[in-house]
Amino acid sequence: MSLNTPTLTDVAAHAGVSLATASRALNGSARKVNPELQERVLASARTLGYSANVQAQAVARGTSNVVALVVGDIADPYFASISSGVVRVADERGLVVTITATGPYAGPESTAREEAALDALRGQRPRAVVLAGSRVVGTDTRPGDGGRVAAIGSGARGLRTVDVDNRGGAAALATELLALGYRDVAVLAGPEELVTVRDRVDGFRSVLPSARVVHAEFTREGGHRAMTALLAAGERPDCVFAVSDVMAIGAMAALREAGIVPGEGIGVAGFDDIPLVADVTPALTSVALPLADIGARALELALADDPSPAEPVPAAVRLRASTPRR
Amino acid sequence: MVEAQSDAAPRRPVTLTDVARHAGVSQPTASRVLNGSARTVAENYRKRVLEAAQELGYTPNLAAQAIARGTSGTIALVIGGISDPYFSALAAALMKQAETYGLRVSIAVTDRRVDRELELVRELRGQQPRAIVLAGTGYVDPPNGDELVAELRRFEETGGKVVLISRTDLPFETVTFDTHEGARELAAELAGLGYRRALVLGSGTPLLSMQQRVDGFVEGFGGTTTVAYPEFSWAGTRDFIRALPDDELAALELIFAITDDMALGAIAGLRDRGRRIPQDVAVAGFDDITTLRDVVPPLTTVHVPLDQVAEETVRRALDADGGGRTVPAHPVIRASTPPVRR
Repeated sequence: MSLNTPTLTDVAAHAGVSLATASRALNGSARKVNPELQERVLASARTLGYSANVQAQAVARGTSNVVALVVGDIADPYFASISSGVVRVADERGLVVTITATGPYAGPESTAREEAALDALRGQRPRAVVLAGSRVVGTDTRPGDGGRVAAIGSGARGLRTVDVDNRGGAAALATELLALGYRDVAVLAGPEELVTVRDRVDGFRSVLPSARVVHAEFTREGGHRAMTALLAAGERPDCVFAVSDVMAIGAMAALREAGIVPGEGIGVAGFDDIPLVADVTPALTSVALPLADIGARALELALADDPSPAEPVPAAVRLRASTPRR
Repeated sequence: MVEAQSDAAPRRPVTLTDVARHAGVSQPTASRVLNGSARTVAENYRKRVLEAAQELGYTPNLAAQAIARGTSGTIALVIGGISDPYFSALAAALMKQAETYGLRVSIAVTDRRVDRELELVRELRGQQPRAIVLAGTGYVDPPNGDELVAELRRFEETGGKVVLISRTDLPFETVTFDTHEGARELAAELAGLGYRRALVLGSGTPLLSMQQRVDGFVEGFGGTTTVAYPEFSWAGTRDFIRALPDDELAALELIFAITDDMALGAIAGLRDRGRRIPQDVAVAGFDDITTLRDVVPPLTTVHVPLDQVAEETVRRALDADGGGRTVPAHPVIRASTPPVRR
């Protein structure tokens, strides 16, 4: 069975208005439509099952009602929290978010995947693009045709960027750990080429220059691996700072496997303050970023006609049971 | 060498015609190489076209292609909430599965608002995806169910495919995992471990598949069950336990929460009230979300094999499989519900 999809002309005829009026009522226009006519057109559209052909509109206008969000690993709570903020703003503005995931960070391959995702998005003519996963030092990213792009975190040149105070947050954490009596601290870091990783390590070491650094993947498995390697090398620091909560949670698992109680034996601190930090035992000390607000700000920035420079998003230390006083 | 373009002039997107001209081939040949075709193209032509496309920065206009074909290579997934670990894990599983078929997944979020679901389906229908997958659980008494059904029917009549995950409130193909049976089996196992009294935490939002979890558990338990309906979230469940009267708190033996997320919220509330898990109160959840591997004590739950759910969903979306298969969900007993010593 093949039914003809109702067109704008059908809606106009059904409502007894001109094609131009129907278009203004349904597609939005600077020129106001009499509310009574508007209601009639909407009622006809509902009756006939008319749905604007968004793809055709996108071709005609050069852009669509779609906002594209590019994340790393969709199952990572960090990205889930950012996404919820992007979705909130899109919802308020009547836009639809499509989320593309490029997977957990895996070096140059991830950069290539991100570029491929952006190329595919250019073809969809999105209204705006938010890059939440782009964290490679010095990467240039081409803006989508007719669309606007904003990135989260420093690193992408020539893009509108929501800056996050990773450096200041990590420095504040180091200061708090010193005050709690920790002296011998190891840093479990992600890949060096990630701006976020670099800023967090540098900020931490600006206060605790003696802290040694171990690099691994920017994932739970990476944190597990780095912690295991540290213990295997015979090291027993009094505290480890993992540059993300997800890595810290992997490190806690590695400690338990080695028969060391996280917190009591070796203190553990993370970064991001994802919701999961409250569910792990002991609850994880972290540096809180307002992730949902960061997502919201990124989309607002991408959509703005004339974006004004904003202050970096502040980070706040949250001390919990995983770093008891020494 | 491409002609130099002034930076001031607005750049026109590179078209297929530009690529064909640059490569010195016909437009149909360029199209066959770049858009795929059953007819093969000689390797040296293929290489020339790909090089030209790369040099010019050509990207296919997917929107225009979708109009030409009447459909796109996208599966539109509608979920209840992105911060919910169950939905983010489901989305990840579906993306992985779709990728093996060369399909993309776009995600839209209802935030569990009934009116928003209808709006999103209207908007998504206009985008002409290959399939619309509704994974948000259905409402017990949907206020605008008829309108939603009508909207989805029109989508199918114009060549789209509708697939539901774990909901039976709408007349479309559904990939189900056996929610009721999974909860019933869990309850029977816990009864077998010696539990006699259970507080069942259902969803304050009237969601159909969530109510099935409550009903399945009550049916399988046999002992005394009390059902409460806190707000359907981690924080809502924590706050509910925090506010529980002292005598009710002291009487708790076992809590079954209908999602792991709620169970973790209940545990946070119990800890705030100074109750130990499992020595004072045993706790069980549902879904077996991946974050459970980091929770101490390990949480008893019902495992839902999301990879199988995703595979089944993509197959139905592509119409590869007409047969109905229910993905089994089975209980996993862990340290949060030890055998009761009397």
